[in-house]
Amino acid sequence: MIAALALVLCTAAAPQTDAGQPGAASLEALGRHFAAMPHVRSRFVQKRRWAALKDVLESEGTVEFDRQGTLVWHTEKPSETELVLEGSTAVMKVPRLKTSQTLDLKAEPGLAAVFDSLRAVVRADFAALRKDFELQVSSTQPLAVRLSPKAEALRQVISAITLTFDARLDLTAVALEEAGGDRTDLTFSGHLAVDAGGQ
Amino acid sequence: MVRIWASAVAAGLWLGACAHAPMGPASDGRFKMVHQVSATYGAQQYLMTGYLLGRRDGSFRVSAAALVGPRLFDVARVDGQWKSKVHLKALEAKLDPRYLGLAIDRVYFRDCPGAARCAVQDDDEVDALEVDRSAAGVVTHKRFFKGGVQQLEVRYLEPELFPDGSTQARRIELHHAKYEIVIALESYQPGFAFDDALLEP
Repeated sequence: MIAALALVLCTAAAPQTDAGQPGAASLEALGRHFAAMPHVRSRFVQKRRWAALKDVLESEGTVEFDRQGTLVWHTEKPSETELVLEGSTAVMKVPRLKTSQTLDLKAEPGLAAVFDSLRAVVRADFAALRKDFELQVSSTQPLAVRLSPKAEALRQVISAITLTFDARLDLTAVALEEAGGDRTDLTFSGHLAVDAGGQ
Repeated sequence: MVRIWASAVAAGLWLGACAHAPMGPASDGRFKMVHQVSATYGAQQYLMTGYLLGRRDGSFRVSAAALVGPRLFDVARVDGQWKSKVHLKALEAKLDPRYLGLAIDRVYFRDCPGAARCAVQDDDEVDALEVDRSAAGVVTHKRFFKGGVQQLEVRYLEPELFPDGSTQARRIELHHAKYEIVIALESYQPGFAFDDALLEP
């Protein structure tokens, strides 16, 4: 989920792609664009569909990502939470519980695999993505790229991630399908490049 | 995060019998709650979103997911029978969903209607319950005992009156010698319609 969010940041006016090779060309373009952006912020709306319960939980907030790989996922509604992913550490803050949790991803290989995959996506790191995912352009209009995990450990958590881009190749949606049948749909808007001070 | 037992127990050893009923009325006896939960067992802490479906007779299901991440486990007690499923293999050796199921039972379904102390049945860890109430009759504190020794307590904080006339605590703290569970109520929907089949994990 977090990884999917990070993808938002790759919102950019990337060059048009070759229709014959839309996936690779688009991702490479996004990668170049991202590399040129020091710090990006976007708003998100997340709909988490609980298959077994036939219900949807909706939340919204902001996501930020910088060139160094720091990811901040801040949920504003219905309750405030903040996830900060930096290096091999993930920190989750939950103000209403008056607590925070720090995870050493080196000690959580399953979770680390998820985050690593997400980071690779955010960075348009094709070498890493192709190592962990099968890439398939599932649609050309709008452009959509489907990532299917290769590793069993990752497949136990994620079935597939689908990224959808608009005509300017801005990332507009991420669909995360979990192995258990749940699904999370993220839509992004208001992409904003901010300076190093976060303004 | 978050409850058990069917029929209101007939016989109590002290003033009354411990009954299973959610706090406050729900018109048709069904409700849905969403919580943020922190469960701490020794050095291990788990932060979760808890989704609870409950019936007035004490049957319920809790689905827990990482605050950011996949679904973790389901635990349910339906007509007195426990069922659970852990969705992440890495968690199987670390987390017993039944602990959280028991916590939910004790927090939301165990009560001593009309009494300050009652017997608890169908729970291996405790055999008695004491309940403190506010002047308005809202539960503020529960203490569970085994053989006269307190085993755990539950404090209900930040009470809020809901449109169905019930008062729900926005923050609940359960303290046990071996673990601590803090629950923040995100939403409460009394009368939430669901099929009984959804109680089965």
